[in-house]
Amino acid sequence: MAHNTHYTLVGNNYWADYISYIVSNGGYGFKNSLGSGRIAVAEAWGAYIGGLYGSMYYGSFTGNSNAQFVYNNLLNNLESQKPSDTSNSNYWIPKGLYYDLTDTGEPSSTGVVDNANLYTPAMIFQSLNSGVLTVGQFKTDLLARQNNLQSTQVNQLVQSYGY
Amino acid sequence: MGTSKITKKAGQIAQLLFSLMLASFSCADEDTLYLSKEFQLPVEVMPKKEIYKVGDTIIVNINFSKILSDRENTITYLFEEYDFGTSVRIVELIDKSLPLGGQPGAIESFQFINQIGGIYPFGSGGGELELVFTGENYVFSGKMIVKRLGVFNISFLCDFSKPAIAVDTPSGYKNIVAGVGPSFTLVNSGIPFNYHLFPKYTASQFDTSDNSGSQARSFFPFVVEE
Repeated sequence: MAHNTHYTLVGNNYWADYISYIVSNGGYGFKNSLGSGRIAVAEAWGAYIGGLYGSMYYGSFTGNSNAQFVYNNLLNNLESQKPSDTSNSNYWIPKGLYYDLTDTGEPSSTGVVDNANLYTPAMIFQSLNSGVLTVGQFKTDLLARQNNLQSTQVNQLVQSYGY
Repeated sequence: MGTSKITKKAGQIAQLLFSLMLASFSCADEDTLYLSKEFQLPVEVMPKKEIYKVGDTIIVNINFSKILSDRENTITYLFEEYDFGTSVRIVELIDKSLPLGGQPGAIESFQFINQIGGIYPFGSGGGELELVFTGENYVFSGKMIVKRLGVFNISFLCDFSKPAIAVDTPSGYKNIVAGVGPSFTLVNSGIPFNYHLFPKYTASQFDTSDNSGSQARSFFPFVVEE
């Protein structure tokens, strides 16, 4: 669903290049692969929306302990990324970045400097438009559209994700 | 196009269709048994009580074999060097309008003393729970020191990442994919303890009856008073 909505925003050309990249790299490729920035912003969106909507869905079953267990797991998955953990081959896809823009607090042990908390999924989605092909461009677009909301905190956060 | 060419073409199409039918009904899938079994990981939390004081110590122990029977005791799996995706989520039970999972993270209300393996906070409520594999067992041993007042819950989570190896395999299959279905931790043998705190402080009220179909007994709620 996340990729579907993203596709409706960016259109055919963006998505054709996306598919072409995946095919020619046999998957996500590497951080330094040509065109990997598109993968970083788009796959992070997929992970974020999957976790967010999944947690909202399972969270609605208040009387079911299995559902609350899954809810907790999904939240942990959103929070748990350590961008410096290169043992994870997809470490460079900032799957926790968007969630960190919306939540409050993070221990220093992850290496993520998360003092940003005023963003919403809608704000983030607007900055995943077809002109955004890298994490750096995402940050620039986000700050421009949101009148530099928490700009210091956003810059710290993105930098701590390695961008 | 002459009749012979049409006949030849029709023959080729028939051959192709026959090949496709053979491929569709191949025995390859019948040679493979796909299993999806549910497992339960034991967690022991001590001392087992409702009210703690600031400065008290909560002890957590996990110790289970690499060979586990599934929840219904129908088969055993070997989990060798396996990533169980274990983690904890600690929240403060403070908002009656939200379910357990929606409560605010409170992992920094505790100090962790890791002895075997460790708990490593990564978010406002989450922490990686690292198990140590001894070659035969998966072990964790640690202490949590309570730092402040409140009503809290510790969720012990797992997320089985991949198939394991079936030990006592059913006969008649060339391949067995030992998949893992929905699996949970069982805190203190899975006996609900202090669960009355959930409806008192949150929107969650768990049905823990035997026929509820709800197997997760993965929670340890408690109160910290002065």
